[in-house]
Amino acid sequence: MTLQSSQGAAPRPRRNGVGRSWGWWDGWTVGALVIAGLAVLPILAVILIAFTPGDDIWSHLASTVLPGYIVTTLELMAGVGAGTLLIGVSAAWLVTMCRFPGRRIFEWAMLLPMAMPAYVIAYVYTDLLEFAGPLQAMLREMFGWSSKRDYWFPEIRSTGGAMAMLTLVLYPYVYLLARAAFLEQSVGVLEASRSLGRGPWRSFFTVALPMARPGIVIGISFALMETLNDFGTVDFFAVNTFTQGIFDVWMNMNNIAGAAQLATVLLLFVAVIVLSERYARRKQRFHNTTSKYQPLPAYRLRGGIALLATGFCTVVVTLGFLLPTFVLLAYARQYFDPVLALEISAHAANSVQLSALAGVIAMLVAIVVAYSVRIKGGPLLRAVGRMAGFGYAVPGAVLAVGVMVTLGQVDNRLDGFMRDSFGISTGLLFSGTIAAVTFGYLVRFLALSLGTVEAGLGKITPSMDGASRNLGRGALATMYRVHLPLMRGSVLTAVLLVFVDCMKELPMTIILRPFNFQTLATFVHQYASDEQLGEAALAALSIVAVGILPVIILSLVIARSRPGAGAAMGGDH
Amino acid sequence: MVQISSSFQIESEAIDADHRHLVEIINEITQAIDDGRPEECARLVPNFVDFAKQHFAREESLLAEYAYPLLEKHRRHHHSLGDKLQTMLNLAARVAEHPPARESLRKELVYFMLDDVINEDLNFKKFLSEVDADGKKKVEK
Amino acid sequence: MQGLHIHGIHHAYGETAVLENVSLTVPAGELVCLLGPSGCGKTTLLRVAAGLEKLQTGSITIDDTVVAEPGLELPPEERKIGFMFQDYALFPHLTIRENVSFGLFRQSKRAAHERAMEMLHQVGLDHYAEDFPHTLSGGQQQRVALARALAPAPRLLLLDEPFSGLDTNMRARIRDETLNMLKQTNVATLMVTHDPREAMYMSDRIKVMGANGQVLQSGRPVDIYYKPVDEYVARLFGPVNVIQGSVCQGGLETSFGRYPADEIGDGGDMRVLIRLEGVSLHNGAATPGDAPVEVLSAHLLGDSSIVHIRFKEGANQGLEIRARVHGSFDPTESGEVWARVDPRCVFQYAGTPS
Repeated sequence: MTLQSSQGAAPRPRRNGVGRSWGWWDGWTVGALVIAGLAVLPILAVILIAFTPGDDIWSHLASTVLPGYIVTTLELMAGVGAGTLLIGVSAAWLVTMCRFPGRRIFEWAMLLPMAMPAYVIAYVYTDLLEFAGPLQAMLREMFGWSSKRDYWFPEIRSTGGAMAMLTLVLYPYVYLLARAAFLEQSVGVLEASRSLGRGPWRSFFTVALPMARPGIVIGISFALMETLNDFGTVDFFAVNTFTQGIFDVWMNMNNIAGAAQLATVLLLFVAVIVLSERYARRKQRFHNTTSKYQPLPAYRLRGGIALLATGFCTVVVTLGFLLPTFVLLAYARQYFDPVLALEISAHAANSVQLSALAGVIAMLVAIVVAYSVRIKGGPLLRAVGRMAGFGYAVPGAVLAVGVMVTLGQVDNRLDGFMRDSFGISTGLLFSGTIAAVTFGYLVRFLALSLGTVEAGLGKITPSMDGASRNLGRGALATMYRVHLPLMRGSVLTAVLLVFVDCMKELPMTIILRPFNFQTLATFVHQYASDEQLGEAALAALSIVAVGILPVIILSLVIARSRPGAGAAMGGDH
Repeated sequence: MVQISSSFQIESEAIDADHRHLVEIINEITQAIDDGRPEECARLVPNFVDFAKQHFAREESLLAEYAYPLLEKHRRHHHSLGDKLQTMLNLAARVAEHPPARESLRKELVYFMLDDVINEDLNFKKFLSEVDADGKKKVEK
Repeated sequence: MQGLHIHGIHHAYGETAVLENVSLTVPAGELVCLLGPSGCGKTTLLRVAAGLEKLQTGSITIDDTVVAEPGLELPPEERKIGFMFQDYALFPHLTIRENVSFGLFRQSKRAAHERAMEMLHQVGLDHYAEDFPHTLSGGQQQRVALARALAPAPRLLLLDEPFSGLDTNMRARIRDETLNMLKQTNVATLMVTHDPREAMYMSDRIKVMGANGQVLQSGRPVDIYYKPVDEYVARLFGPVNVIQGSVCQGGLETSFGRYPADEIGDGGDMRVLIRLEGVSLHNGAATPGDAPVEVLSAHLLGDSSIVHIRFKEGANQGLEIRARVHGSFDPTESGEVWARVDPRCVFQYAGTPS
């Protein structure tokens, strides 16, 4: 080895012309800031309108409908919360900790009701259980009753009915998170509890359940957010929740300020849920310290108890998915009509185009935000990243009001400006267009694609970035050559998740859609509201079929996370 | 050849001149080894060591004149280099009949110059430039 | 000056300083090692040098070109630095050959292919060119990472704990191979490790860093090992025996003899540290300075043994110390046992244990 030294005069160090090097990073920051700003704009608009002094509808609302809205909404939340907790946790405990016939199937089948929008299941059960429906007709036939006065039958179109419908399709959130929480628990603590003399049931209530509590709370908060978001079910059942109230004040009383004021109160409900979810997450980090993965102990259930477990899971999946699907299939066959089918396919095309557009844009936007957080970091951008996902917690009806108000303002300003400057009236350029619906979808579902893309990026170690940069590739080339190929799966999932949720979306679509523009969801809502479920069955089935896609993805993830199957995931990285 | 590029300059004429002279001796030693005259090291290396010690003394009195606040630390650093200078003398005594010592000596000289002398002296470059700008504001004795 | 020159780097995360006035020089063809405990900012220094972390204070010069100083910062892709990460960071979606040619995109396809294959040949992995990284063993992945970092002929190579992912048996071999390869390429190399043996084996010069991100000592491995500036540096290289006492009449009397302590003064505390391998045992005739000891136990480690002994007389009568002796040691052998210390393995510092 020799000491190499410079020959001749040393060159002067380069001191200029490289200052730009950090400058263009700021393109990412600006992009992320603009996106997050747009994403919170509708929410801010709602709050702003609510606090703008105007005709005093607030005192009117407060003295008439508001107390009812609050009580009904709280009732509904309590019912759905309790129902999803009971079903979700029991099911999760059974399939993770016990062995009984059909367990491996139920492990993923319990997720199927996720594919079912609450309003679809509400239409189906109303059809089945109402006075004119087949069940009551059969009972009357059997017992010789002739009128409503002869017997008691639960009224499906009630708050209780809405609780049941929402619980049946929302419990999978609690199931998923509780299941994950149980799987993460160290076997050691359960065994320790057993060895200290506590039986399996007492161990469950004193050790496993408290340890899984953060996950369960997160699951319930998701279910409750969806409950607040629901419009189709409560509208159909005439249950006066906030969402229903916003629609009423907006559509029937034509009062924007009143709708915004109701929406703001609803946002308080959301804030409470979000805060408790955040709180649970903070605690969850503490619980996740166990690292060793061991096969969980299996309580082999026998005889009657095993039968009970199988029966419980079967009933839940049947009520939440199999029966409604079967009914819709039967109707779809019975009421099949080529002319109607053609019409539905046109609506389906609308739905698919709109949802795909939103899915792709959301994915691109999510990449910009997630990538700026990664390469730029810092508290500002992390806050921006969280802000961009706010919309997911906000009920569709609230966002719809916000988007409407925001775009209305933009349209008016633009029109005014164009008229003053050029004497041209642009009219309403954005309001009531596809762009408005897409914007609403983006605000509401950006969190889904953002979460997926962030998770995908998070799996790529930062040293990958470093390696690529030091090998001479810039930030864009690194993204294109290293990150995108590595997170292809996440990118596709991001598009798919947003796509599916947009296909199912109802309240925002109803408010924001162009005149006479139908999607599958609005079509089903319109026909079912007119008691024409038969005609709407084909469209409803299409929505359910699309909704199955994420369930399949989740089941695959579940299958892969099973003990012993984890090694199949991407070697060392 | 070792060269002192501009980023290694302390921008104090007396000190930079000393550094240049030390580098000159290092280059002479390197040249002597490369040309197969290792016996000259026995004369050159003691020269280098003597001059380095003189340089340390000159530097310390200059810094004292300007009341450099970290003078004591720098003085301790100079003191700690005594072992390394001794190592060079030991190596120099052996280079004539012991070829591997030549490479060691050469490396030792380069690291000593760049890492131990210049790098440490750069610590007071900013300090010196500030007192100079103040119109040679010296501390009254 | 060809190579890397870093001056006056300070770096802090919020209030916590991880690098305090770190300066170093790595001439071309040399390997300098930063040795320090984990979390002392060694890796941060590499990341700052590579441009992956923003420079806060100081300057970095490579081959006489300033690549970073406050207000001027070359992005990582323009620095021509090879960086080998602790986890290797091989791209899992690219083949071995595509990994190695990742940085060769400015050359023609053919030239890049040839260069990549040449590098793979050098590390003995040309047969795996079209395989994917996860099919390779840890040692093979390490070699691919090295080949990838060296393929674009960087001016400077940074190695972050390059052997920490390998098991002990493989480590020695890969270390040798890596050293050979670096000598051939004549690139300036800055390496980070917490393993003192690795640092001594690999480097031309070691910079010892303390937990607070300061450079405690720099020098040749032999300087650091035999002339540690303080007890912390001395202990980095393995366990030591400590003899503690008060200075009396300008020195400290021990069973091994008297250690002068002019600088401490009478009554002051003084510690004499003796490396375990600096104590040798024999049962022949005693020479001046040998201390008679009683053997308490011996533990065979393989190539050496740790022997617990107790002084029979002198100033440290009754004190137990340990010795590391070559091969096995039979404590039951009869006869007087003498301990002798190698003065190069004895260090003395003022003060009491902290």
